[in-house]
Order: sequence, then C-alpha cells, then structure tokens
Amino acid sequence: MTLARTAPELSAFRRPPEQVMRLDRMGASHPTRLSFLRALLRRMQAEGWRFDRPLWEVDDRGVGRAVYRAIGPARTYSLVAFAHDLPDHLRSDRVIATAWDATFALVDGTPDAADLDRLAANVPLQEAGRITAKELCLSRANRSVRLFGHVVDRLSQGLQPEVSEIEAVGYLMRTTAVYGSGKFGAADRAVIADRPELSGPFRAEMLSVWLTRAFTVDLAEHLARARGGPRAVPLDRDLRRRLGVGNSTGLGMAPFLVRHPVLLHNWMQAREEALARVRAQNAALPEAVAGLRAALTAAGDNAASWASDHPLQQAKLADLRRDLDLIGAALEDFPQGARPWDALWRWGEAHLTLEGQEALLALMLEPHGALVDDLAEEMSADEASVFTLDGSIPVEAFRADLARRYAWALTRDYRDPEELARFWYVSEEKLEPRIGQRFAEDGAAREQPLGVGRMAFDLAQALADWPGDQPLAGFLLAHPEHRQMARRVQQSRAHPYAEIQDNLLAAEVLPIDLLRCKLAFFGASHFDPRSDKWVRISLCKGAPFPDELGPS
Amino acid sequence: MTALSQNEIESLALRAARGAGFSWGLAEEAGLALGWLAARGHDGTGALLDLLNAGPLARPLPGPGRWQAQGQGPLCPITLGAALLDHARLAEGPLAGPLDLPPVAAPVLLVPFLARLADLGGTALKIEAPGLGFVMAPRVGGPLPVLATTPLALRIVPLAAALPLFDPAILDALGLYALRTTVPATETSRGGAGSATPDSD
Repeated sequence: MTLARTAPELSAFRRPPEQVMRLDRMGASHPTRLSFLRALLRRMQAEGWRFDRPLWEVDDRGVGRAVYRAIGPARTYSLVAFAHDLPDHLRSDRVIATAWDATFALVDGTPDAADLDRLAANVPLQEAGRITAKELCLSRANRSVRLFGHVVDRLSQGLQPEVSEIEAVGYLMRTTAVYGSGKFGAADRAVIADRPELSGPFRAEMLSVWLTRAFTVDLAEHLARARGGPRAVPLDRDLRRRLGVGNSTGLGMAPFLVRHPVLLHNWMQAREEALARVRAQNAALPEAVAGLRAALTAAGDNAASWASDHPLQQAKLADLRRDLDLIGAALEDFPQGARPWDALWRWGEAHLTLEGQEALLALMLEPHGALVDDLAEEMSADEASVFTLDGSIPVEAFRADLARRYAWALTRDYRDPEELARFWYVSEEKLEPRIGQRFAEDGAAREQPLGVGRMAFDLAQALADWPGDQPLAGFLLAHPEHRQMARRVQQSRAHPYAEIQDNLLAAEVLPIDLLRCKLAFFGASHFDPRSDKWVRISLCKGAPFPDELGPS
Repeated sequence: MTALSQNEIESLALRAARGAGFSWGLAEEAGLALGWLAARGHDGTGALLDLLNAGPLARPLPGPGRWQAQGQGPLCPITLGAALLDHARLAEGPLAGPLDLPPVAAPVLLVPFLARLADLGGTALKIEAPGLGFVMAPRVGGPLPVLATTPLALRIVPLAAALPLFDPAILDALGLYALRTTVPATETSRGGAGSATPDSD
C-alpha cells in the first residue's frame, strides 16, 4: 500500500488551528483510537502483560482491601483498593467530600505488608492523607447506588441483571478524582516519563481506572455470594463488558488545557496528523472499508445508550444520531474517486454538524491502526525544555508574530462587559478551581490567568509604543506582568494547536466544552453534563477486562 | 519535616510568589527554580520565604560588563535570574564576558537561573563572590555550592570554549609513547610503500 505520509504532501489535508481550536468544536470531541486509555490497552496487549489479584480481604459487608497487579515485561504496577462501608448521607461526588465507597492507590511495583499498612492509614483519607514516591496515583470512587444494588441483588438470586438497567447507568462505581503527577506526595511525572509504557499522557491514571473497573465487578460478585450463598452467580461476561467506570468531575480539570499549551498542542497535533494521513491515502482498501462500517455500527450502539438530561447535550445527541444516519447513507456509495477518504471527509464538513464531523474523524481513524497508532506515542510534552524565553528577538518581530497568530484575540473588544463577564479563580475553602461572574461576585482581583485572549490583547497594547528595534528582553524587564503571555506567544510559535482560540472570560463560555475535549482524549464516552460545569462520563465501557486481555 | 514531591514544591512556590505580588510569569520562574533546587536535594523554601517577606526589591539595570540595581535594597534573584536568561542571547548579554552584579538577595535562588544560563550558552560559568568561587557546568546534576543567605555581590565569568595552550615538554613526552604504535622503517618497507609503476607518466 502506497501511503502519502511525508509532510509536504499531508499539508493539504491538515485542518488549521483556527478551525480546530474553537471551544464549540472542542466541545464536540469524541474519543479515538489515539485516546490514552486505548493506547495503554493496546500496548499492554502487544507486550503480553499478565494480571493477577494477589490479595482479596473483603468481608461480607464489603469492607476490606484488595490488590490488583499489572505485570509488564519490565515493571509491575499494583492497584491497592480499600472498600468502605459508606452511609448514604455521606456519599458526595464533589471535592468537598471526606468519605467514599472505595479508595485507591496505584503503586509502583508490588506493595509489601508495610506498604499496605501505610496506605491503609492514608489512602482512605485522600487529600487529607499523604502518599509517597512509591505511589503513582491516588483516587476514590462512589457506587452507583441504583445499579450496584440491582446487580448485587440479581446475582445473589442466581439471576443476571437487566440489560436496560446496565445501559441506563453504565458503571458500578464512578471515580470522583484521580490524582497523579506528584499530587499529595506521589511520584513526580519525571519518575515515569522515561518508561515507554507510561510515557504517554495520563497512562498511569488510565491503568488505575481500568484496574478499578475490575475491582468494582469483583466487589459486586463478592457481595452477591455473601448474600446469596450457593445460589449466587457471577456476572455474565457480555453484560460485564457493557460496564465501564464512571467519572464525575467538575471544573477542576478545565484549566489544565490552558495551563499546558504545549501538551495540548501535542494532543491535537497527533489527532490532526492522524486525520491527515487517512485523508491523504489514494485508495480505500476493502478491509479498511469494512472496519469503517463496523466502527459506524459501534458508534450507533454507543449513541443509542448515551443519555443525558441536559438540554445542551440532548441537542448534541440529536445532532449526532442524525449525523450517524447521514454517514451510514453516505457509506453506501463509499469509496469513490481518487482520494476516497478525503472525499468522505469533505462531504462530512459540508453536511454534518460539529458533532457529526468529530464523530466522523474518530470513525475514519478506527480502521487505520497501522497508519496512525504510532502517533499515540508522541502525545506527551517536555514542558521544561520550552520554558525559557528568547529575549533577543526584536520587539518589532515579536509584535508582528503576535498580531498574525493572535488575531482571534486582538480583534475582540474587551471593554464590552460581555467579553469579561466571567473570571476563573481558586476557592480558598477547598483549593478548587471555580468560575465566577466578574461584575456580580467578589474575587476578580485574584483571578487565574486563563483569559488568554485578553492577556494577548493587553500585551499587544503594552508593546505598541515600545521601540521596535529593541530586544524583547528590555520590555520583559520593564513589564513583568506580561511575561507569562510573552512565554505563551513564543511557545505557541512552533506549537500551532497550543491556544484555544476563544475568549474564556466571555459570558457565553461553556466550561463543559473544555471538559469534553480533555475527557475525549482520555478515552471517555457517554459525556453527560449535570450543569454547565459538572459532568459525568464513562471510561472503559466495552473494553476487555484484565482476564480477557490476551494476545491478539 | 515534611516530604513533598517536586510538583508540590513547584506549585507551592508559584502560588506563594504570586500571592506575594510577583507577576504570574515571574512566579512561574520561582516555581521552576524551587523545583530545580529540590530535584538536586536542596531546600530553597527558607530562602524563598525570606525573599517574599522582604517585599519588593531592586530590579537589575543591564549594561555591558556590569549591571546596576534600580530601586531599594539588593537585587531580587528571581527578577535578576529571569533577566539574565532573557538577555543571554544578546551580543552584550551575560554570556559575552565577565559580568559584575551588585548584591543579590537570597543568592541560592539565583543558582537555578545560572544553571539554565550555562545550559543556554552551552558553556560553563565561573561564579565569583567574596570568599567564594564555583563553576556551573551545563546540565549540572550534582550537589550545589553552599551559599550564604545574606545578599551577595557576584561576578559571572563565562569560561572560554577555546582549547587551552599546551606545555611542549609534556607533548613531546606523550609523543614518545605514541611513537610506540608505529613500526620502524626498513629498505624493504620503503620499497613496497609506493606505486609499483613509475609515477612520472
């Protein structure tokens, strides 16, 4: 198969940042085969990882501890799970909670007895405890009271749970925070950055979540046996596959994409490069066409079980379902012409909503693993290496670059209250990122620097009267308040997908758009907003369990 | 005493510096500096606290060979460090030749910037101060010099990348050893060393 893969040939098939980096499109993101969870599972499968459960000490009330190990060719990682007896009135998904149904740590290696005792004294406390550089992640989860109860109840009677009940919820437990990268004493990112199996973004977190999923089913089966005795049955394997792990999250993860511009670029760049490679192909081989149709069927099933009560999401789901039907009709005549994938993509851009277009992207990548999967290994970023500013550039050149690449920011009128209506801040009470109304609430003097558009505008204003032939260094010394934005400008020069090209302070901004984009890169499905800044999703739904992840 | 990850140190230093009035961009520099020190086993938190408690300090005024201080008190090491890096690529910048600096507060906090400066120039820097001298090599990973907590006037001397001049007597002696890798000439070896046919054709 001849593939057009070299850079000049691909440039015609790449989407420009001004198209990709818009909040409404980011808020229509779908997981792809490059998503972090998928990439992790592929690697573990390819490398023949083994999985076991060396410890299971859980009593009949469901209280105790368990250890799940993932044993790779070079290293072993262990999820240590603590199961608790949580009174219903303490169950909260918010970060202000202090108790959970289950708490977890992902350990680097196999924990010994002393490790387990140390973790038992800290992990159930979550933020109020401390872990060490021997741990990679700290997380917790709450039961879906409704589905967990239903599954235990049915299994204990020797019956399988109702498919409709499983589909309506999709998970037995949902995590409410998964911390990594040095949080609460855990190992720093630098500790694992050179390990091939964890060098991709959020791989340790994804491993933790995937093993947590196995724990949730084991716990439900254990409680069913405790209640039903010999009558109890294990969960049917096909039904089990339909269960993912839920995740409930608020604004906490929204600022991340703004704070890590080079990382965001690398994620977007990998996905866009994958799309360009697929579009540039000269032909559609029969197996790829079959793979595309299979992916469409799966997407249809996914859309059918994807429910939300939020009006914004309901409208998007209606768009998606209609668009999937349109894609199905379009595929009846596929492939056609010299570059059939590009023709399909162009048809999609002309006829589909943003939901449908981004779903089509995911569908088109699906049968092209050999062509695109290497890109999943290029999605991390060495941020320290791009941190230092170049102060030698003349102000004139810097100004021109700013004007050219930040036109989206410089052409807005920030005197308009609508453009500045919101402000992002961190709550003193719980150190939790929040978004407020600038003109109605206190605290804007302590706002976080997420209004990149206005920051760019202010920088351009300050630069306007500065002598053009002078080096930037002198300006930065006189104006330290613009140093952060100047850094962003220089960083994004070689990273065109680094900036979200919308005003995050505007009245109409929807924080859930940021959440959806990030969660899609994780591999999340069933995005279900519970407000304009709170969302539930599902991870791992349909994925194999540890005892199913054999060699392909 | 409390164990923190590098991420936690960086994050705390960034937020504390911002809270104390540093701009976000300089607060990021402070965070990176504290993380750099911690990764090399050095606790810079006391120095940072002293710095933040001291309130606004002097800013550097760059000039060829000598930078002055603008404002009250000694130079702020974060502002100075950032400015040294910003000026590093300029013809008259800190890598051009010896540079004299007025007293710098909490001088240990300048060390991470000196290391980055050495990295940027790909050259070692000799740091001289009263009663003190040490070399910052590019990509330094080892233990750090112990610096006073009081303000310190510094001289930064980029170490020339040019090769040194050698002692001919030593070169001759080494040459004698090197000669032992060769075979003494004979008439036979001379005869077989050239072309087998005349060269004047």
